[in-house]
Amino acid sequence: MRVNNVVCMFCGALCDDLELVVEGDRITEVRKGCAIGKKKFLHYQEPVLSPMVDGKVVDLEEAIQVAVDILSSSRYPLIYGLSSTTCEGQVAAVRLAKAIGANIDSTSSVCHGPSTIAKQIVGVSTATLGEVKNRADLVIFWGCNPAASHPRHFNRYSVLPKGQFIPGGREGRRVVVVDVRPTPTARIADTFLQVTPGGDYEALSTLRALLKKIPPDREEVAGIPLARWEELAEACKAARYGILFFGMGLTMSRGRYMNVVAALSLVRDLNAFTRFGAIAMRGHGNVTGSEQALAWTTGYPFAVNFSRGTPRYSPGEFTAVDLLARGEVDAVLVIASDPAAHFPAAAVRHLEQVPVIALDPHPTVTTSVAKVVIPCAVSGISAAGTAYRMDGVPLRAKKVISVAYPSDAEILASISEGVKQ
Amino acid sequence: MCAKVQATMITGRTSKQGLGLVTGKATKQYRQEVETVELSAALLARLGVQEGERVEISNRWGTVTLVARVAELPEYLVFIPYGPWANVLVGDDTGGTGMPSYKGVPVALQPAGKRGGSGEG
Amino acid sequence: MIKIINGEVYDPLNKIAGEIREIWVEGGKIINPPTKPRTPVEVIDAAGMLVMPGGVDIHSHIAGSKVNAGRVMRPEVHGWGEGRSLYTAEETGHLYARMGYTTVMEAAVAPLKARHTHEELNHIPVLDKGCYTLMGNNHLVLDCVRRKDLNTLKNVVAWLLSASRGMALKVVNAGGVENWKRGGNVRSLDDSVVEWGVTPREIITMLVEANEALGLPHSVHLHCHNLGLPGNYRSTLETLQALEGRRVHLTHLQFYSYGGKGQADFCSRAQEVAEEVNAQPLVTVDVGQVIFGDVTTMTADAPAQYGLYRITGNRWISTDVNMESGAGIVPLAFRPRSPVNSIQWAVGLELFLLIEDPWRVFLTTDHPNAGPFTMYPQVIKLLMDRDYREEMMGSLHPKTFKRTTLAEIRREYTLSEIAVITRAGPARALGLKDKGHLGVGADADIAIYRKGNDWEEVFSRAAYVLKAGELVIKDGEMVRGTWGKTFRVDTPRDPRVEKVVKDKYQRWGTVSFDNYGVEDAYLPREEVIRCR
Repeated sequence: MRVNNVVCMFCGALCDDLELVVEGDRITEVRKGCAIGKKKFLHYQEPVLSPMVDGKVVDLEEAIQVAVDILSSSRYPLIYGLSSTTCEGQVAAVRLAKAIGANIDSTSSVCHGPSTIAKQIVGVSTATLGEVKNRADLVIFWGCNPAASHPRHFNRYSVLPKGQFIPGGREGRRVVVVDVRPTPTARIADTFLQVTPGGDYEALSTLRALLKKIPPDREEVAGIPLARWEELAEACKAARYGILFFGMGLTMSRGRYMNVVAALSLVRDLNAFTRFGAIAMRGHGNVTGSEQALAWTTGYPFAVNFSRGTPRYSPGEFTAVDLLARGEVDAVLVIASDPAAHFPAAAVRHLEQVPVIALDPHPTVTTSVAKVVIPCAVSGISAAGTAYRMDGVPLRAKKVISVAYPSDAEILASISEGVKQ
Repeated sequence: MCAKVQATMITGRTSKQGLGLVTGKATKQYRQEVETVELSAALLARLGVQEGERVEISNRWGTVTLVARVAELPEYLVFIPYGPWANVLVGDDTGGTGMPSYKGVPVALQPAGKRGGSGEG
Repeated sequence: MIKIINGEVYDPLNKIAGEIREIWVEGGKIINPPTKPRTPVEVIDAAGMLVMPGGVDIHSHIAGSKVNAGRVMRPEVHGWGEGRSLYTAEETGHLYARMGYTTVMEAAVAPLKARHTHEELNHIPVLDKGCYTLMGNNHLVLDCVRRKDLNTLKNVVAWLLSASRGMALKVVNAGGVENWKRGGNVRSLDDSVVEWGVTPREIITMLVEANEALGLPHSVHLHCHNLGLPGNYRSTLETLQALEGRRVHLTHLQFYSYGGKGQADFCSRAQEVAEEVNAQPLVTVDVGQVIFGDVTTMTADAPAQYGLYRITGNRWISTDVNMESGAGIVPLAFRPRSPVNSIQWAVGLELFLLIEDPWRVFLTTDHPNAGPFTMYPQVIKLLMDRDYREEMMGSLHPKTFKRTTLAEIRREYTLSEIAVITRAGPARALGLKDKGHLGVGADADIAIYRKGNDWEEVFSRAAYVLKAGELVIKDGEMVRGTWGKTFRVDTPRDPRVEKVVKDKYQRWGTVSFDNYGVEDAYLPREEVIRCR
């Protein structure tokens, strides 16, 4: 059987044109996806996880019951992850967090959380990816590497497609890449500006100063001659519709959200000359949805705490790395993510000392340290639901095949039922 | 052969590391990918190390020993794919933002013994 | 079975004004008093109370991408209480219900993001909801207008309503948002929309024509151009004249009734605008009353929001939505000591008081633009209690009263008139036949208020609220969480329109055509209003 227009939930580009061949309960062929997307669909069935407690295989009900016991007796639990599950799963996680008075945080906090903090300071001028395709004649990739992280981004949205008002496609656009190293993305650029690490804030502020005709009194900024920044500032002003994609190069470097404040301020200021937007290169499939779902359920985008019953928001206080590194939480429920593989070693050490419940379809570093492992269906393959693209466009991820295990949303609802009893 | 060389570490996504996210982190390919450090040929020469040999990288947070791979990078920069090894060198101070320093981390490099450490810190 | 006894009933549609009447409820509906009640009867004694149909809000921003973007940008104004203007989905349902409101319309949805709106609407407890589909800058629409092809336009409208699961046709700054994508806007009905060779006048009149030809229950819900600008009453009058004799709803009219050329001579022209509305019997309006305090402005009128950002220097979100729309969000404060803000406040009240027929003017604050919906009871008090109004006027900037006629207006609203502008009128304008009244067969959405001297207090916390026949609020507190339904319209269309639409989306969209329309899964509790 052919299934068309399937949404791929690997990355935030959320390509929705994949074609699958399904035989019974197996996907045998994937067309149109990138290498990673194809692998995701073909790989869903193995290796398979079994429900486990303390390394011993148990049945699903027992695993859920142990999870309920851990969370019921926890005094300061953390629910973390959410980026690779559907909004239905995310909402179920918030309900559970509310029921047990937990902290709830998403992978945003180690991804574009700083960008969200920056939005709270500046706002953001932005657009859907369709506007990029149809209008953008200047595309800047700053501190991001979609060639590796969002493989079909260039093709579908940002560089190659012919647009309504960009009939020439690639020829109608100028592509600028700013990065500390010549990434695979830099290879497709018309202009590559290799900045010194930590130089982003200075460079972005220089561009803002140049727009305001206050040139800095130096020859070189962030390792680049001033003349090249002047040229870029002029190009931005002369563009009909400019777009700045930005990534971890800004959010993970010194200054963090202030780097993004500089980027969003620049883009805002450019609207005095032309139309300009910024889009965060959000990574995992539905990390954008986690910000959405948390906002309409708690009012806040990430780093939420329910200790007092009503939600409170405080990055640095209720964010996962901080809660772990300070050794504050006494139980952790991980949904669809792998903090043991991606958090700083100091945070991982605490993760290894407290009971961890991991919901995941596949073995990960986190499942290997978890006390309770609960396998679940794969969102967008064996569980349907909503996912938000990096530009906020919502799509319905399909359930293509059936598996033995329930979805994250169903498992989380069972746990919520359990803790209420 | 030489003293410790100071450099700046950035961590990041690579296609192969991304593949590991979907095919499972138990695979050899993922393990090999995240156990790699990319550096410039010039830096490699300064260290007196050949591509494929191990380099010891350390800072105040920890020490890892990774396999060197030559890449087009400035001499002061080393790149490690996201993963458990990179994380040993990432501090837990988030500056009140929730975000640790995954990029722009000062590190010191030196050649590891031919047989190298396991790298797990 | 529930029986409400001893209450003073205000049901203007059925011409009941303060009579003591019994109301019987069964199966979610209002029924005739049974001769022999079958089931045990639960009795609500409403002695000393007012009984009204549940409130109906015709224009509010409660769900979807821009509401949520506002929440993300402004954690500082989230939550209950004074000075807060953004609520979670759950709070939205509770806060409306405690005021006796049971039906609320989300006023602006770009079809590409409609799935998001419905997801949020599904998480709002108690209320029945619906949403309006943005069309005034949609490329499919602009293309039909350019070709003067009314027949295709009708089909495109029907298709867009279906794809977005919309309740009504919304127009926001027709053509102006499309021009904004090149840095421009439109200032008059006859400005040109770049690349399309059409004018706002053509877009609006053709959409009104299509709306009426399709027999949609609500008229076109029109957000005019020149939002919030001094002197904009002229373009408002011009728009009304262009649509003379047609059915249309002008939203948040307060923002369109200004005279003057700038801050220095900013003044009210509510009188002229109200006169024109009075003269056109098919026109309905909602006011968008200004409430002093913190607000979060959000609208699909993206160029207007850029202007507001430039004036205030406040934070600014702008989102262009390809082929369809845009949006802008700017935090703002309305200050009683500011002459402009004071005049804006007065303009809203003038419109309420100078538009003669309460069936054509509805209570809104364009939440959260001019104020939070939680302040409706204060507006009711301002309308019903002239002493209170004058007391409040005394605290405003003295210039206000030279530049408005408010001080000369003696009118006070009656309870019946309040029941019209907050429930019966909006329900009728929306074509919701089972809402806004207490006749047999109506939905048993009933608000019961304890009488008192202070109308704000009376309407802030209902003594009882029934939603679909179930008691959800008692003494202002939630006693039962229920889930309301979502209204949408369905109108027949030529299936061939799909091909026209599909071709354009495949070329210029970024979402597979089959994934574009909102799936049934997003409307688990829907009521479809079928048109002829």
